[in-house]
Amino acid sequence: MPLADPTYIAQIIAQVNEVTARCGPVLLFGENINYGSRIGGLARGLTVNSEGVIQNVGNCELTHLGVGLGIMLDGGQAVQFGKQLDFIVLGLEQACDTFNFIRAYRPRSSWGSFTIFVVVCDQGYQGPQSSMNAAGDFASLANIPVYCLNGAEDAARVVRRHFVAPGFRILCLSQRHFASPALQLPVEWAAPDESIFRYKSGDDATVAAFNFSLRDALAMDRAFRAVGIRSDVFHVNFIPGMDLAALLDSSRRTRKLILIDDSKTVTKFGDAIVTELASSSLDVGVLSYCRRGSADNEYGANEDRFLPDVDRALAFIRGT
Amino acid sequence: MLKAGQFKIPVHLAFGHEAVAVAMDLTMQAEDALCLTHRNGAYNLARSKSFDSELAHYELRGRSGSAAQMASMNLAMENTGIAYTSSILGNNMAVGAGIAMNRKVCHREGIVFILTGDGAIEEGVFWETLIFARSHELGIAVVVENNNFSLGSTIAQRRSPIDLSLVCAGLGVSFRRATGAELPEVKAALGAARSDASRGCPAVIEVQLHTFNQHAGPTPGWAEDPRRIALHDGLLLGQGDDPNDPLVRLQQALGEEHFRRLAEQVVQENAVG
Repeated sequence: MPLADPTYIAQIIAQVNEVTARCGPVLLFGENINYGSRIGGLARGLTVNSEGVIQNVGNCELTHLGVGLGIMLDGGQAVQFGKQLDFIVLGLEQACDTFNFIRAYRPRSSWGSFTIFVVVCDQGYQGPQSSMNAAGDFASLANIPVYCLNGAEDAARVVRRHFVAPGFRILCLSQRHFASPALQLPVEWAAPDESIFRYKSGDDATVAAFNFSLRDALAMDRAFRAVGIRSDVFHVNFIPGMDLAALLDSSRRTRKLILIDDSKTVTKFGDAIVTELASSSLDVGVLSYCRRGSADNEYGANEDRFLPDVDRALAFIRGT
Repeated sequence: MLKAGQFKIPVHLAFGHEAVAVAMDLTMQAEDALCLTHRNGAYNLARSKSFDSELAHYELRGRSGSAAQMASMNLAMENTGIAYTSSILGNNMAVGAGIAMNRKVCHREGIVFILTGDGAIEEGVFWETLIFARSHELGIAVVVENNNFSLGSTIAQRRSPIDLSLVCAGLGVSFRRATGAELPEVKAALGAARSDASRGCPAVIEVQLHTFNQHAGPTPGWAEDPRRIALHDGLLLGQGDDPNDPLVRLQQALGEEHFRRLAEQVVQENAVG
C-alpha cells in the first residue's frame, strides 16, 4: 500500500521492500542494520522475503566490501548498508581491484549482484571527518555506476532496476533530506540506464544538477518561472561512459547551461558536458555552481549549506 | 623461461610450494572453492593438470578476451575450482569469506580454501576476515604459506614475530601447523581443517615453506640473494641446508645416488631446453 506523504527515507525503503519481497535469496548486511537506530534510520522498516537474510555485522568495512563482491562472484545477491560515505573509503581497494578481476575474467552471465547502499553525511555539524560528500569520486575511482537518489521517482526507478541487478554499483542517499517529505514530482523523461532524469522543460536555459542538488535546481527553476523564464532541469547520476546527448541537445537549444554540483570534489562530471560543447561550433554559455577547491572551513562542524545564487543565474540567462 | 625473459608478464615462482599445492588438489572436493594469491602457479598446475594450458596464459596465447589471456598475477583457470586470485595482499581473504557467506545464505555445500602468506597476515583484512568468519560461522580454511619472505625482506628484517596459534586461540579459530615439504603432513592438516570448516568453524593452517630465494637463482638487484641452487649448476645442495628444504627432503627420500642421477638429468634437460 502506498505511504501517505512519506519522508524521503521512508519512500525509498518502501521501494526497497518491494524489491526484496520477490528477489529470492539476498543478504542485506550492515552494522546495526537490525539493532538500535537501524543505521540512523537507513534500515528502519526493512524487510526481506523468506529466503532473504538481514544480518548485523561488526566494524570491518574493508572486509564488508570484499564479502559483498565475493557473494557477487559466487552468483549471489548482497547489499551493504553503510552509515556514511567515508566508511566506504576503507573498502576502496576491494571496490577497484576485486571488481576489476570479475569484469575482466568472469562472464557477465555468471555475475551475481552487489550494491552499496550508503548515506552521504551532508547535513552539516557532523564534523570534519564526516563531511566528504563526493559520490561521483567513487564512480571515477572504481569506474562503476553511482546513483544519487534525489526525487521520489528517480529513486524508485533506480531502486527497482538496480538494487539487486547483476553487477556492482553504489546507491547514495542524502542525510540532510532524510526527514524531509519525499520530492514528489513526475519525471518527464529518463535515459534508459537511469543516468539522466529530466524533471522540467523549457527553452531558456539548461540546468544540470549533480550529487544532491536537484532540490536546489528546482528551487532555482521556480524563481525562473516566477519571472517568465523556463528551463530544462536534469538530475544527472554518475555513470561512467554515459550518453550525454540529452544534455548536449538541450544546451545547444537553450545556449545557456547552468551546472549545479554540491559535492566537494575537484573532478566534476559536469566538465565532460562542457568539454563536449567546446568541441562543437555552437556558442553555449556556461555558469557553474560548484565547490571545486573547497575552503578549509567548509570541512568543519557548520551548516555546510550549498547556496546557488539565483540572481546571478537570472543575470546570466538575461545576458546582463 | 622466466630468467631467459620469455614472458612479457611477471611470474611469481613457487619452488618449494609444490607439496602444498598437490595436497590442496587432493583435499578439495568438487563443491569447494579456492582463492589464491599472486604466487598461484603451482596451484593452477595442480588443479588443471595441464602445464600447456597454464603456459598459454603466461604467453597470452589466444584472441584478446579469450580464456588463455589471464597472465599470472590473477590466474584462476576455469574448471579448476579456483574461484578467485588476487595480487593484493590479504584481498582474497574477504572475497573468500564472501563466497562462504553466499554458500551459507543459499544453503549450498562446500568450503572455501584461502591462500595467504606471512606477509599478508600483517594486513588488517586478515584480522577482520577471521573475526567476520568466526562471527558468522563461515566455512573457510586459510592456508598461511610462511616462507619467511615478503619481497626481499625476512620476517626478522621487517616486523616483530606473530604467533598465529595464539591469534587463532584468541579468536576461537582452529589452528594447525605443518611442514610444507611433506605431502602427507600437509594433506592431513588440510583435511582436518576442511572438516572444521564444514562444521562452520573457520580454520587456519600455517605451512612452513622454503621458497624462491633458495631455488630460483640470483635475482637482479638483490645482492644478498643466496644463489645456492640454480638449474645450470644442477640440484646442488650446500653445506648447512635447512633439513626442511624440499630438496634436502627429496635427497633423503631418494638416497644420494638416485638424487645425483636426477640432478644430472635436470641439468641435461635444462641444457637441451
